[in-house]
Amino acid sequence: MEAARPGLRPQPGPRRRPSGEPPPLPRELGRSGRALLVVAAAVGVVTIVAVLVGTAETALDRFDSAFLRRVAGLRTDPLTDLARWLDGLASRWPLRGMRWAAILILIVFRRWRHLLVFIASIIAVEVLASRIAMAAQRPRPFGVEILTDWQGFSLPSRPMASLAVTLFAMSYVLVPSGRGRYLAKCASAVILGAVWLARTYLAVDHLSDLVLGVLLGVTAPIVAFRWFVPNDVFPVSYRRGKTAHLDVTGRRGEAIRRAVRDQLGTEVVDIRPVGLAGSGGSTPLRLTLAATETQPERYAFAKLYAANHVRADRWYKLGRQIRYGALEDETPFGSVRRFVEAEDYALRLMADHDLPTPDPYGVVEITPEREYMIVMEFFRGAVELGEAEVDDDLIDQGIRLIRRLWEAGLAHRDIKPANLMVEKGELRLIDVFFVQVRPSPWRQAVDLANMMLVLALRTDPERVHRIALRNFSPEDIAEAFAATRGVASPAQLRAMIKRDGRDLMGTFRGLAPPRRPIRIQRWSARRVLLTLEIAVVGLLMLGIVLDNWAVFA
Amino acid sequence: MRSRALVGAFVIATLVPSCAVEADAIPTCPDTPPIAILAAQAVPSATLLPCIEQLPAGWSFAGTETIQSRFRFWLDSDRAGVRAVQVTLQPTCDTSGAVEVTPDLDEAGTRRFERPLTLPPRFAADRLYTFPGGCVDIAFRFQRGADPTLVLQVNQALGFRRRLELVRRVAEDGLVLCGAGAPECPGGD
Repeated sequence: MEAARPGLRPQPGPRRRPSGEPPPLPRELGRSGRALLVVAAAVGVVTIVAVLVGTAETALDRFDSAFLRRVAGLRTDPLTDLARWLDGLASRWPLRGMRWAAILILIVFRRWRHLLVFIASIIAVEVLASRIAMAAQRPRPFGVEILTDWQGFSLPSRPMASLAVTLFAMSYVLVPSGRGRYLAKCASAVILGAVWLARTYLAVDHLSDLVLGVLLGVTAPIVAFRWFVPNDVFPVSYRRGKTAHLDVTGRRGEAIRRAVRDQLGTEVVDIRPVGLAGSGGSTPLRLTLAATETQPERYAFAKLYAANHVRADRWYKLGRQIRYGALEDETPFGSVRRFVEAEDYALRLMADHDLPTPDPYGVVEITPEREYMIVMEFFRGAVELGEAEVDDDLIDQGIRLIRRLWEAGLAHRDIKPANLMVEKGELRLIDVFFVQVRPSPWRQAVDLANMMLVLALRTDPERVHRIALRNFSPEDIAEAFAATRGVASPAQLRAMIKRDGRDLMGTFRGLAPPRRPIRIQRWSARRVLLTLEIAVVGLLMLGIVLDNWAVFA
Repeated sequence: MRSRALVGAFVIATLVPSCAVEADAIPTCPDTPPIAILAAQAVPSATLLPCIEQLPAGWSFAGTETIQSRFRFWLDSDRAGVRAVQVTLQPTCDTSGAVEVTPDLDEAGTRRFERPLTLPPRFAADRLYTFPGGCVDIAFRFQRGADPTLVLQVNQALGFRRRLELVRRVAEDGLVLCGAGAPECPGGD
């Protein structure tokens, strides 16, 4: 089937991956992952020991006491002053200052997911430390004078856990991945080490209290940030634009090259992210394919999908369902595989109906069930409709495109300037991910209105309306603009209409026969229950934060 | 997915209490709970430590707070209200405005002071015990309409433990509970 399509000409031929051979990008824990597991296991063991140890009559107490008495023998006034100052870093106000600073920065940069995980990991550590302390009920060190303030039971060291989670969580939410974050973690480790020494010197914690406190405080943010805001997907960046894109250099870049060679039978010379600003649901790429005996070096367009894109899609649809009701019957996808299968199917369906969409080249597996890439034709030299010269012919092509979608029983559902390309005077439609088969009449009407709005942005509504009448009745156009309001148009189109300044919507409505607006908001029992469910979860979460407000205030 | 989130939120809400107060460490008199040792460490000079003998019906333990130089716990009552009684051990306390009264027989070694603050319907009073190295302040803050004679139940519920007993108990494990009644600990200021 692939050989029949223009574009990729397999040279060595696709190669089947035999059983037992790892996929192009195996799901590996990596060095930090393994270290994390060891740390987590250590936390578990220490916690169990802590809970079992419980009271004072233990060998551990005697060991800790003897050690602290030795350290106490080193005490001098200047050292004591220094230790008290260092210990102050783990006290209430410095911690709260750091936490609030991080929270404010995250709010300013609208990094909500990082903010949520930051707050949750801090609360989790504080609460867990408190629960372990209550379970273990370990008194403060024996046999030595304690030289600083303390609160509650000794195991784990709660100030150390608080400082560790704050510093490490700040490294994850504020510092971009790479050398900067590595240095931030090193600096955090140095500060923790200094406070550790100080608290040992002041005999306020046992050695084992400090170990458990640090393990808790370090493990929680590492687990939370790796799990909920993996850097690949939610990188920390202070540049503008969307950031839900995967890094395609390094191991993943190599895996993409190997996967395309093995599964599509062609060599990839270069991988370059393209159009990142207009895409949040996948990582769009331009692949440079090696020259073959029959074809020169050429480009292919690819979209890389990962599990996080499925999660993002799920939340996006949940949000839409709550905000607008079940009008569009949007069902979330269950897996990344279903994601790419749906888009591949949509591309082939569009091709079957002779619609001007990219030719599909196939799906490539990067990591089974976690990362897939769909490869398709790249419109070389094409420009976005928003930047092209638009004449009557192009307007007619746009209008006829919608007519053909209607006739095929399809809706594109994302008609916007970024998805309409002009290649040598021919209009092309890209990004078919949202294509729906047998959509609601409302959806089809919205496609028409959005196309007319896009075309009018480059010309004028009267001209677009006149040409639209060749393929649509005045009633169709009236229905389109009765159905389309606000959120029915993609965000990019809404922004461009706002920048344009003309009342395009009003003009189109004035040109069409009068028609009452079609309601977007639909209420159903399901929508009400869903909204209530989300409200309850939100209130519970808020309750937990307020209940533990002392952590921040 | 959503139901999982909902269940998760409920579980978290149930399992995750506020981390401000230690609610499970009850300073009972008859045995030697770790909280008693912690209280002794909080106020190392105190030769007596407040504790709970036995709670009468209608009273419940509401939590402790232990910081250096202060040990405190609260009692709830179904009639006198939430945190109707607050017991605080400190090295010293201010007895001005309080009237000294004769301590009961089981309060030997202490001086007892009473300081009524408000009369019924909202009864409030402070009772102070001073002794070598420490002071216990029992603050009665009853809710409106509560019978002031509930104080008698509190009298029965609370008692004192000698610090020396704890010092000996810890010494049996080869450890030293620094402070009154124990050998001097190294590393003092």
